Amino acid sequence: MTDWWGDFEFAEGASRRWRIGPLTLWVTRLAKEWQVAFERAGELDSTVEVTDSSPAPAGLERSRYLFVQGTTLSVSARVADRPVVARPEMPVIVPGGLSATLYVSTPVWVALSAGEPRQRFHELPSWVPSSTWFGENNIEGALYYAERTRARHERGSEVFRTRVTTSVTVNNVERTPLQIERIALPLPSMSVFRDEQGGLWTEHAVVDYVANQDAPVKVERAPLAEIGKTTPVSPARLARDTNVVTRALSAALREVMP
Amino acid sequence: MTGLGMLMVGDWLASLLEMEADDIVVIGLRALLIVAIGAIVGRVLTSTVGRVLERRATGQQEMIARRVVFYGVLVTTLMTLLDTFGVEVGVLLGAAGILTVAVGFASQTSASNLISGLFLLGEQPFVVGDVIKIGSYTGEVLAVDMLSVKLRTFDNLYLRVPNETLIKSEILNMTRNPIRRISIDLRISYDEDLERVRAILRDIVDRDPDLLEEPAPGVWVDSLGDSAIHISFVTWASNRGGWYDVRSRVMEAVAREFRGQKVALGFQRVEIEGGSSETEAAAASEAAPVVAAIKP
Repeated sequence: MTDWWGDFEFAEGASRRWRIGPLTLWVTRLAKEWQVAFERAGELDSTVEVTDSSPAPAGLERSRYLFVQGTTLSVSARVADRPVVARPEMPVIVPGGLSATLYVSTPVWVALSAGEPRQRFHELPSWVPSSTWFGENNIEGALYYAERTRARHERGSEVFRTRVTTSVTVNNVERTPLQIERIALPLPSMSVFRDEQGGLWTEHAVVDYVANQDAPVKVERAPLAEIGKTTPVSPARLARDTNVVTRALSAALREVMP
Repeated sequence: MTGLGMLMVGDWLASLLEMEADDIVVIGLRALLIVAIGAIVGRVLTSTVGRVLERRATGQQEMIARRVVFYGVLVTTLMTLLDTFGVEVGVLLGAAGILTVAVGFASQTSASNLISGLFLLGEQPFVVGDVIKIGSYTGEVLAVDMLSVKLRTFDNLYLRVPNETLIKSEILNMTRNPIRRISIDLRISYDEDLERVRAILRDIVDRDPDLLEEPAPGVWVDSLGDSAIHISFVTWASNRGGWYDVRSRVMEAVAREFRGQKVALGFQRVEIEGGSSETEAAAASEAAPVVAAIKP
């Protein structure tokens, strides 16, 4: 299965069209110039197509980027530019002393670069998720993207090539059951990997829940081992020195009252 | 005190005039050199401080640092200049201390503004770059100076507000908090299904990525009016640029969806009733030419 990301050679005047799930993207190379146009429709569309095409339809707004050099366009798959809060559609409860692994998928960001050395000139999400506020109150906190998730506990047979999947293991160290209301994922600190079927993954994340303590997300070095062999696609947006991201999740996990 | 000051200035002028012409030229050249060096050092230092703090500090901190450096260089240059002219700075400062009391009485407004400015810098109800509302004026803060605050209003006018006024009046800081509520008042007909209206409004929030999922949007019944149910639709958006655009977009979407889905809006309705017989009609026309009943 051909990947939609990687290097693509463009002759002068050539155009290509990408279908990356809900996103349709047209790129045209002219003399010393790149033109980009796009449109989006159907959030859960999972079509992937890369075809030679005519330039973008006339009605679409085009962005023009002037470059002196470069006939190669690098397309890369990146994680969202803000952390994401995933909210299960139905309440998820982890009994005391047990662990659960959930899968959360988020739209992929598409970055275009060209020139020598490579210069990123355009980046856009395949679908723009809703924004949400994540914090103790309406003053302290930060803007996150919101994702409603079915919080699947099995990988499933769907291969996500237009969304990035993150596996999260929640360890409930306490004896009381734990209701997961929201899981905040520090996506900008995570990288993108490709599995053997062409699906996109980030590193595996682990949350150890202890009552009355912060529950930080620990980002592992690689995706979940069960996925099989993976190859790196793009690095994290933010450099991280340790595998612990100190963003507290105490607000995201709530102990179920007996 | 003033007499003593005059005496000192007189002595100093006399000693200056007793000098050789060459010496005066030397002093003049030295003074010019000091002014030139002061100007260069002041400019270089303030621009260096500005450059260093540009990315590391807020606009407000950068402005204060630049001011401190500028006034520091200015005072040092002036003192060096006075020293060159043979003025004893220590004595002058003593006289200035006494003079300050006299000047203070004469310039109460300026002093009040000056002190208010210090309080404003300490309390920081706003910083450079914030959008604030004072009285009937709303604008972006350009500078917090010693005597006044400069604003740029939304219609690009330059507004100077004395610090004293600011200390005394209510200031609404429109951009300090990172998220802001959008409140839209609507009037819905009593014939309309409120659940349907709620679903339409919730759908508008779901479709616009700039409207926040949390804090959750809400639809509340404010009051039951004579001819309509008054409801409040509240939703939240980021307050970091583009809030007014989002609000306008939401209002437009509400109007479009209500029209498209034929939501019955509440409006003043007047029912005109005529009398059934000539006698009743005559009696009614005597009391009031038309009987208007507001139908709920």
